[in-house]
Amino acid sequence: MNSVCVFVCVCGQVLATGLSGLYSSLPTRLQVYSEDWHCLDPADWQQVPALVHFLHSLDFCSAVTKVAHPSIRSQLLGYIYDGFLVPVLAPALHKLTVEEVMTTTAYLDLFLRSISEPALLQIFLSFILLHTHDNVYILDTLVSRVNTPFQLGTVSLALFRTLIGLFCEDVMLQLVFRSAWQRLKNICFYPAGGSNEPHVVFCPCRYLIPCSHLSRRQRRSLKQRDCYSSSAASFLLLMPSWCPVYLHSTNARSEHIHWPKGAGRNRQNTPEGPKKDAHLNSCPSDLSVSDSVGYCRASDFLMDVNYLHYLWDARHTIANAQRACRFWSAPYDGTDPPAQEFRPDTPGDDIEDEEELIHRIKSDSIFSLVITSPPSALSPTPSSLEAVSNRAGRASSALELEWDDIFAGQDLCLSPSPSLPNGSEAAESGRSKLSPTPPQVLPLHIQEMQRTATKLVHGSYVEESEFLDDVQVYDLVARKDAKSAVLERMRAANQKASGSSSKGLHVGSTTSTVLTTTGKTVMETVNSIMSTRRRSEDEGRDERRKSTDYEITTTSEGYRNDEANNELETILERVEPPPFTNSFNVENHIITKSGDCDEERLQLKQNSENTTRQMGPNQNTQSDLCLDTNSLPNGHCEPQTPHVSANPPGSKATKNSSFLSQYCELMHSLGVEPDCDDMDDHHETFQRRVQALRQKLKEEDEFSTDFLWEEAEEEGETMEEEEEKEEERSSSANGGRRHGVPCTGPFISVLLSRLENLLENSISVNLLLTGILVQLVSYPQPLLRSFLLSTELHSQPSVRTLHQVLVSVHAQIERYVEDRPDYPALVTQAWRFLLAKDQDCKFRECLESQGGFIVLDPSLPNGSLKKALPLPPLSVLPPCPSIPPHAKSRVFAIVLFAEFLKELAAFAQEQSIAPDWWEEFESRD
Amino acid sequence: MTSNPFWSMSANPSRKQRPDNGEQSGHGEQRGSPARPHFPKKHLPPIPKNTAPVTKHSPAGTPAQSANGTHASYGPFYLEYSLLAEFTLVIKQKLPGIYVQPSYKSALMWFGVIFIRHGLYQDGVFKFTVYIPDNYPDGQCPKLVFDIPVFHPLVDPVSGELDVRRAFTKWRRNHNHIWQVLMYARTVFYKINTAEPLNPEAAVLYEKDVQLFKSKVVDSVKLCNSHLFDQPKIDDPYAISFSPWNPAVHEEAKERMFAYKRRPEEQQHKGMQVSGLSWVKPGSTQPFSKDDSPPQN
Repeated sequence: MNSVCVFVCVCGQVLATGLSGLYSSLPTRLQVYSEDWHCLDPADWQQVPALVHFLHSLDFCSAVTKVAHPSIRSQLLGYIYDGFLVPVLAPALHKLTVEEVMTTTAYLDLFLRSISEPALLQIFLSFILLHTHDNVYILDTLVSRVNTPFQLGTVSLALFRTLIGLFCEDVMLQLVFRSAWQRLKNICFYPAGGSNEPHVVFCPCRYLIPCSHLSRRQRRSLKQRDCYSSSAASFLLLMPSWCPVYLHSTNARSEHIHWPKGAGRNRQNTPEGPKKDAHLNSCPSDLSVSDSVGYCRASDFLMDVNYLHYLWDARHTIANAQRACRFWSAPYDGTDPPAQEFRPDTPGDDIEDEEELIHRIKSDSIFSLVITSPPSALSPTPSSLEAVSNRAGRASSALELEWDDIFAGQDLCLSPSPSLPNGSEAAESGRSKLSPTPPQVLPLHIQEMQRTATKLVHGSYVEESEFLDDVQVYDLVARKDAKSAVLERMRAANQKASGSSSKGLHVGSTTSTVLTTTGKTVMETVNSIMSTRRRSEDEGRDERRKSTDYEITTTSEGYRNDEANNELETILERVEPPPFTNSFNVENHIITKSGDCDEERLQLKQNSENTTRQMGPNQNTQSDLCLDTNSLPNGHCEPQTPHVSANPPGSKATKNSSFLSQYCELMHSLGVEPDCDDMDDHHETFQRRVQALRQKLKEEDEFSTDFLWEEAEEEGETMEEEEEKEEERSSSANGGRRHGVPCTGPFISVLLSRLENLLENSISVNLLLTGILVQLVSYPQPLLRSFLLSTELHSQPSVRTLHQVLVSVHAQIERYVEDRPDYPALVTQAWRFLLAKDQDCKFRECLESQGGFIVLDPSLPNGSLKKALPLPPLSVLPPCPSIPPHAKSRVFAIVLFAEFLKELAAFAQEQSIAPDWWEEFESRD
Repeated sequence: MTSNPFWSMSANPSRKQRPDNGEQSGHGEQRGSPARPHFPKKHLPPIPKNTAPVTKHSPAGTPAQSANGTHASYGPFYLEYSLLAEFTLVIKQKLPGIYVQPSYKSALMWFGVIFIRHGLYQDGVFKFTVYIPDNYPDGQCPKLVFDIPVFHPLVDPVSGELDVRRAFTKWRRNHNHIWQVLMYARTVFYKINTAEPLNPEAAVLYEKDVQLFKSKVVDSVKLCNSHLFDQPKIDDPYAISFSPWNPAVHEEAKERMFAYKRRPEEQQHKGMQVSGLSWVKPGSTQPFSKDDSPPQN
């Protein structure tokens, strides 16, 4: 028995080391033939003998895992984890060049797709979700790579398609649902006071579970259905205005839904209709194929019929997803897992000790890797912008594009317009009106990076000047580069002070200065990302220094404000750090509220006096700074949380008002008009709005008051309003949560930001993006479903929804096509071609699967089609229209956009009638 | 490498599963003709569970419907899915003693039957038809017409139409749902209202001479029940019809009803790869929190 065990152990070891050995023989770079390539198909990997070998042994591991005794199995899995994944695959995922990393990613994707045994898959998944390499979760690294403009991004997308297609709760928890406290618990934490040991802080990305992206009402209506297809209608409204789909098809209506009243008369032919329960009179269908075939006679039948396909597909996919999520632990419906315990307004309910608290406070501040090191590394040299931005470049390179995520959430808060109480409305209307200014393109820095990188690749870097007009760029750059930002900020402030009327201009000009410099460095960064990263492995210290630089970069806002705070603090004699001078709000204010510029300017003035002193290599200051910086919410993800969590529990709310008054006094004494009354303003407008709403409701009520449900409903609503009001009140008392930016997680924001770039993306990227989004939309969890499909204006202006992104893409397309009158025709042609090709592919697929036998199954939606259309030979296909090669991807992107809208609409409609998935959980108890 | 045919829309792997016909039949049935609603399996437990009122959607979500007429082509889909959603809601409500079934010919016509289990109308089995306006949900409230005019103050003695409008003076989308109409039809038989009656005789009798009223009701119930086995009034494959107990026909169905198998489709899909995975311990939001979780570091 013993010997058997030993044998098996050895065998396990052999298996694991065998995997490692085989892996090492895999090509480190794949020759990629086309830009569209994104994953290893069988046709691909069968050409690589080493890969075939590897997959075979992986299969063998699967098989052993399946049949082995549990203890042996766990041992084997342990070996694979400790002997292959961690020592081999993890470093391989962080290799020197983009190509190598891309290859590894493609391998990982292939492995995940090849493993059929859940236990083995579990090992791989836990490696991805829980393993940290250089203190960064593999998952986070992978997510950040989605944003790379290289093929690596495409391959990473393909990997996520695979991951999401697993319907694995753990994966989705980490990607989409999670609240992130648990992540912190896995990370060791070194107190920052002077220690040069790294500590890692992750943002508490409370993605969807906490429901912070929802208003109270929305939270309550999570489980409700969109009864009247309003989401679908909203999606379809975004179709390009010249879209050929609508050329005809009004005649389809009568055939479609409103069955002709006399249609059921002829009962002669009764093919297989739906089988009803036996006790009901079953009289099967007579409306068979012939009625729906009517489409075929229409000129563009493909475009019509194809919506039915989408509906059918949606139904099928949703049913699949529901089935797949059967074994999940919770319904994710806003109540289970409970949102409350993750809500930002309940601080300290599960904090046991102080360290935990610090942990948590820190966690609130930055979504990034922050590594503290001796202050000497700080060495502020704001002498040359070039040098500074170089440093920033290197720093971010050490972090491997992590910053993409950091900023993804941030731009969101820039959009709300100051004049309207509801910022999202303003932004929304601005977008949909096709305003002449560029739309709210979320990831400007990503675009920038992409363009510059592409240009570099093509060998000619031309400075892009079109970004310069946006203050956002300024902001971004400022964040990327701490010192230059501080410098420029001060300069800008001075300029503002000297002539505030021409403020925008000045900002613009400074921006351009900064941008040209950083633009290059960013580019360089992109180029050297991997190499820097790799080399630094044996130069740990070096890297740490870089990362320190990075810390400055990311926390620059906090930095400055920290100084400001220090200043204020001394003046106010240690009043608690003001909740609303946290970096992010200030950041918001400077962009959205002109009134706040004063405040900022004031602070900056103070800063400029103190900068040198504060930045000096002083050990105490440094450690102090670290802590403060972190406790100061810079709120990449959720600036509103800091109000609470940055405070020691219970200490600040009470002092708030007194602080406010003191703050006002201070401002007055300095001759500046404080704008601390703006919260009350907001509150008042809010109340007025509520009042108006109520009035409206009452009027409505007068018509129908005698039914009991309605009354109850009304009552509930009033209560709800009260609650909301109350919520608002309390939060505004806490320092205004309206500037809060609840976040939905880096993955979703990365997806959406890439989607927003649809027109520029390659076809394969767009296909992957829309495919992944469709996968996500098929998930039955109300949280996810409502987030993705909701087309209502969110009460949380900072939360960007899929619909909002699509609105922006729609505007982009309209604007783009406006200048190019030849596009509609071109797109229409391409569209027909693609639809026909798709149809053809389907037939062919069908044919192959049926062994050449065409089924005439009227129960299939396309059964009718099959009958109506004999398989067209390939030559029948319309020829691919001659699209100029440079326009190809855009033309296809537009077609894809329209089709994606249809698909989303179909999913929205099918989701609205899908059986309640969560009822299973109710019945399970 | 692969020639990546653009329009195979290969981005979504689930789409690739399209051609295996074996598993489609379950869903394909209803999709056979596009217009026919999908009827999920009904399960109607005897105990009502309909206490929670449905709250309304925020009106902000209402689509700016076809401002330029371009969306006319999708209009039918909206109507169809609205009705499907209504039907799903009806099923969800599990209204006690009420069964409905949309007509085969039109999704705007639903056949129903209501069983009254106690009260004055005890043992009554009333068949009815619901007519939904074709501009639903923006039109009037649906009509509910009993096949045989029941003796009731709110039921028209000639047409058999129930006075629904008094309860839904104005049909408000998002507020009002068809299940409420059905619920109302049931309530009417338990809580008799005589104000502004459609059948003044019944109203007056109820006020002045309850005994006579009662006997009239009993007669009416008897009349209705005696016509139970009649052919449905409306000739429709999905019209509800009753027939006397016939073991040869009904026994099997009854057995199936009692031996209700959870998720019969489970067997069908056993071979499928997509099974879903979870190692999350219930109540936890930690990945791999189940006991058999893999090594972590």
